[in-house]
Amino acid sequence: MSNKELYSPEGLRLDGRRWNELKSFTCKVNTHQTSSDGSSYVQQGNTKVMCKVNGPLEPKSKANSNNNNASITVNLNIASFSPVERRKRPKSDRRIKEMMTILEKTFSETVITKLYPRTQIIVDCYVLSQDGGILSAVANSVTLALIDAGIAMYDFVSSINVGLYNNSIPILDLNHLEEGDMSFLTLGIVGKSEKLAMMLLEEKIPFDKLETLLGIGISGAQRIKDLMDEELRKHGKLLISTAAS
Amino acid sequence: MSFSVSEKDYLYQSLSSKTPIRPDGRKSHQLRGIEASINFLPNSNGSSRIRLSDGSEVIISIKSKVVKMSTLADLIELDLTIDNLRDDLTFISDWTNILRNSLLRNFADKFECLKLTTRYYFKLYVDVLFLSSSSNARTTKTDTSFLQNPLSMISFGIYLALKSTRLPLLISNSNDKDIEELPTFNDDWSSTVLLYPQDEDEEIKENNTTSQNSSSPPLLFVLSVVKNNLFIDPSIEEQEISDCGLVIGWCSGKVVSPIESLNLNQSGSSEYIKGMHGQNIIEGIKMIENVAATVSKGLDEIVKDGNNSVFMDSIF
Amino acid sequence: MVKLAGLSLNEQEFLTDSLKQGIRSDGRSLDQFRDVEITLGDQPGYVDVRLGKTRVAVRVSGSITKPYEDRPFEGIFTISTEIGPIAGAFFENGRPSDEEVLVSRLIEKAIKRSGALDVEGLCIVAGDKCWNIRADIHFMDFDGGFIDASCIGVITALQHFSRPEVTVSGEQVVVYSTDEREPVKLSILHVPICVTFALFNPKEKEENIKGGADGNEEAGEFAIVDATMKEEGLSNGTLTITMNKNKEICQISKSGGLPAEGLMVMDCANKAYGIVEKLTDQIKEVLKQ
Repeated sequence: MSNKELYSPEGLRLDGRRWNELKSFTCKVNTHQTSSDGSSYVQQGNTKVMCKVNGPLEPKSKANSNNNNASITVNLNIASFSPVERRKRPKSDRRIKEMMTILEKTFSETVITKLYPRTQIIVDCYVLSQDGGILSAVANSVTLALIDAGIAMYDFVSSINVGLYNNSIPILDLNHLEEGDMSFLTLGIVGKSEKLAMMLLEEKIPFDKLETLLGIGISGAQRIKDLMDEELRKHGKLLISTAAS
Repeated sequence: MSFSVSEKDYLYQSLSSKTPIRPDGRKSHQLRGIEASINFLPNSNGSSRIRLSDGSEVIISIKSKVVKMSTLADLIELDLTIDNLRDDLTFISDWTNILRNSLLRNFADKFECLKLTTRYYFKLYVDVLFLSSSSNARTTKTDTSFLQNPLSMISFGIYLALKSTRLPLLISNSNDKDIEELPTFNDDWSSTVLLYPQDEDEEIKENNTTSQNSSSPPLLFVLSVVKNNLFIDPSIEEQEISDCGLVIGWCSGKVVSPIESLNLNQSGSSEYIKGMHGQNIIEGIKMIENVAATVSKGLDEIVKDGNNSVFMDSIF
Repeated sequence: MVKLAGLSLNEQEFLTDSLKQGIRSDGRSLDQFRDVEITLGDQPGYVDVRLGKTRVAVRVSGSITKPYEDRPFEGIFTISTEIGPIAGAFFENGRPSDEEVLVSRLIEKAIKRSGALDVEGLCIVAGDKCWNIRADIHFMDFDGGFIDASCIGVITALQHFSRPEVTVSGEQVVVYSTDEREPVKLSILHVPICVTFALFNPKEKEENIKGGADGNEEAGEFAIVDATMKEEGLSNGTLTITMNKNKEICQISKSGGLPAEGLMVMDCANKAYGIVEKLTDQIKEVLKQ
């Protein structure tokens, strides 16, 4: 599609970033005060995701009721106007269902579910614009929204994707064009550790490159965690100062 | 979930009395204040977002596509998504039709601006995402309690989005009757053309009550009828106990279709639905005629401003 | 995968404790894959795979159809994975559960998306006619390892299957029956094998996430290869790695579950490679007969 190379010999990508530079990351919390218990808005480059969390609340159906733990339900809504080419996806699209299940399983481990038995935590995510890294942006926004809702978590889940250009050069935080052209690994880590909460590789890579990709991805995700942490602390200070006044 | 009997009774009494008192203290012809922003979706030709004070929000995206001309009605496609509700619910298709028809009917000669060549036209996809204020009250995909009627808010959003929509500039030959060629466009975003050109002329602005060629998208206003009283922009409590609802359209200085009765009560409790008098319709139209011009002026200001997050205070 | 809720508490404790000591109920070591029995059917394209008690049957069939509009030079390859109650009482017919969606997406990524089958070789007349190869996986018995068994089954069946010979002369396409001309094998570019690891955390959840309390970094978490149904039900998470003999990783899927160290993932990938080599050779042997 583009006749420019994705990675120039000088080491610059299409949008001017170097191989290890993140897209511009902005996030806001408590964006929907009245209509949800916790909410967030994450912008990674041109990928914009909004997330609302409701809960813990009483589940309507018994299927969602677990005697020992809270059950987490993730609803992912990828708007038909989000990609460059408008595409209306049916609600039963398998790729979307797969992403919802991955997120549910990831957050079931990092949320302290045993504190909220017999309840349901409902997470609604809306992808308004996509430019690569959807799963990562959604995972980051869910983390922020859960924290905003005051739901107990062991630690952050911060997520990033990292690709392998020409089977040799690792590239961090891919956009849509780059994702289409190379294999990439999406990973989510817990807090500041190196533990992987979720990992998804969907195309071939040579085995010996795996370790490098993991290393680069983990450090990239840790930087995202710092950015999210900074925003939350800013928000917290603001809350305290307005409450005090 | 629903309102208690005493709550409903109180609301009905206060709204049906000779001097009605609305629960939030507004006058009968007063709309709620909105917060609006435009042009925030990088992948769409036009976008807008409207938020009400109760937390409900509507996001509109306008995307264009070059198609071979078949019928004018095919040029506008509208898609409505509400929270996480299933899209085969009947009221969703009802609302989609009302919105789409109002756009089609009032786009009449505006289809000219979608014309590229004799064969090719632009098709507009209007995507609406409505996030209600009470999504936390509903946990399943078919529960419709506390869902307020969003037609008015959506039509304001579509107005803003359409007025700020930019389309690519055609550089290939516009006359392709003899030689068919695919239209090509200027790649530069700064040479795009506004779908609805802005009126710079002061004279036109002053005379905006007189009819002109449709240079503005239509607006829809929802009214609630309680006994002999009419209320513009009913909140969820007022909708719950209305006798009937009325939707009235407005375009370029006059009331236009649709003028339809609506059921505002989505949760299904039907003991309050009574219907309305013909007199209510006439009064409703008069009310809209007094209010609508100010609303569209306010929305125009937002478009002109072009900045994000403008607050439009409660009208009147 | 599917959580077996019916395991009694003492059985759970027994199995978890023995796993902590490195003992499995069927006598395998933690890193040992179950013996795989591959039986080829009489008809080309039918394969029966047994992995311990797990049993999966795969049938590959082909028909001629019109290619997709946006891919006129490629054939069509679909994998159908519908798990019915025949595999186990807790599976339901009809709408696939979330777990089943994961299974079918995994198998699709491992085989279809990694390009194991050369779809361009399935094209007959560009934009008009192509082969539509369909692999139907029938899950007969569930005892863990559905993904692994299905992958072995599909890739073996694809190599076992042969399609009728076709000649194109201008607009005309002639399909020869198997009596007239020898059928042609499909072009398989590489042999992906899936290995599923079940992750266990014998310590408290908090210790796993925050690290050891006394700084004694004994990881505590461990992974076992090819879990049976009961072991899967007790596990805290799964990790599936698909590799081929060319030392390429086709896909990795860790959908949530116990957070695992990057080193553990690398370790699992190494173990997986050993298993992949063995299984690829075994499949080759079976197909030679």
